[in-house]
Amino acid sequence: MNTDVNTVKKLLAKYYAGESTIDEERVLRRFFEAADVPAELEADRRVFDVSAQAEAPSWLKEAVVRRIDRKMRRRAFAKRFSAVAAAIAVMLAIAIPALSPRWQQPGTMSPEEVRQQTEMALNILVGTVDKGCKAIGESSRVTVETTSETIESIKNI
Amino acid sequence: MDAAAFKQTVCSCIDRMYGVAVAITGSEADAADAVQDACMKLWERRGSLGGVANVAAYACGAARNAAIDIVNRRRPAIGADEMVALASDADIERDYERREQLEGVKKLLASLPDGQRIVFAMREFEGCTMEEIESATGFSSANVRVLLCRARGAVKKYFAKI
Repeated sequence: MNTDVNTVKKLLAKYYAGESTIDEERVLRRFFEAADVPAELEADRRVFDVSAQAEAPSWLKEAVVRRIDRKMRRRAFAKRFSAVAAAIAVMLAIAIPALSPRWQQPGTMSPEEVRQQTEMALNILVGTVDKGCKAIGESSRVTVETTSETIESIKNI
Repeated sequence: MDAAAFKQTVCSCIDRMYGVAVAITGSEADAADAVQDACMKLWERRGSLGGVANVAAYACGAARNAAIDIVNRRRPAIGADEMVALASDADIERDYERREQLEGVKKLLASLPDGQRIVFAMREFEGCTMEEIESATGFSSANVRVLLCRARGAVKKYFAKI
């Protein structure tokens, strides 16, 4: 439906008074998007064109994507680190009582057998921690070394 | 919403978000900051974006709020009545240096008082209703009409001269 110029002028009067509705502004916008706007309304057309000119710089989109990627990497690191920490806590909870003489029952494995079994389990744990932390990165190397030292000291109990 | 879908959705809205933010802050640098802040807030809420009917409008709202925060941090918070009173004396000189770096319409918008700029941006760039503008800004409906009237008049005057 083509809006006639007189109707447009009436709507424009409301528009500049701040009294037009969203629907009326939509009518005006559609009118001014057409190619054949009368010369007397050219300034009004440019007013409506203001909001159509927005274009973000390309670097901004790249910056947003980079920040999201950084947040995702930090989240993945935190998840892996807490999983490794949980695994260590569980193994320590098993290993420490197993190595303590108070927990040994007569008729079950000898202390040497228990030590061998636990050492095997702890070596598996170190390997798992190392594998997990390689994915986390160099900053975790201290954590792995500290954990390995702790496990070694447990073996020597 | 997974990360790939989020990035695609947000990137498709960034032009509109930037337009709103530039219109409100009058500064390209501040607008870029506002858009990034808004995108990070949307990222935190990505789990609930699937239930939003119009994500583009939601994203523009986030950009608008971030832009208004930046404008408010620039100067001491002033009440709605003061903002309307200030708007009656358009202080073109106040943002002279910032305007010099912008071009065309952006210069014009940067020269408008904050109240006019915010209301104009919300209506023209976001398509907010009067009620939404009143709710977001705290201005009364009469004040919103006055600010919108003055902003549109200033923009028309600018284009009538060139």
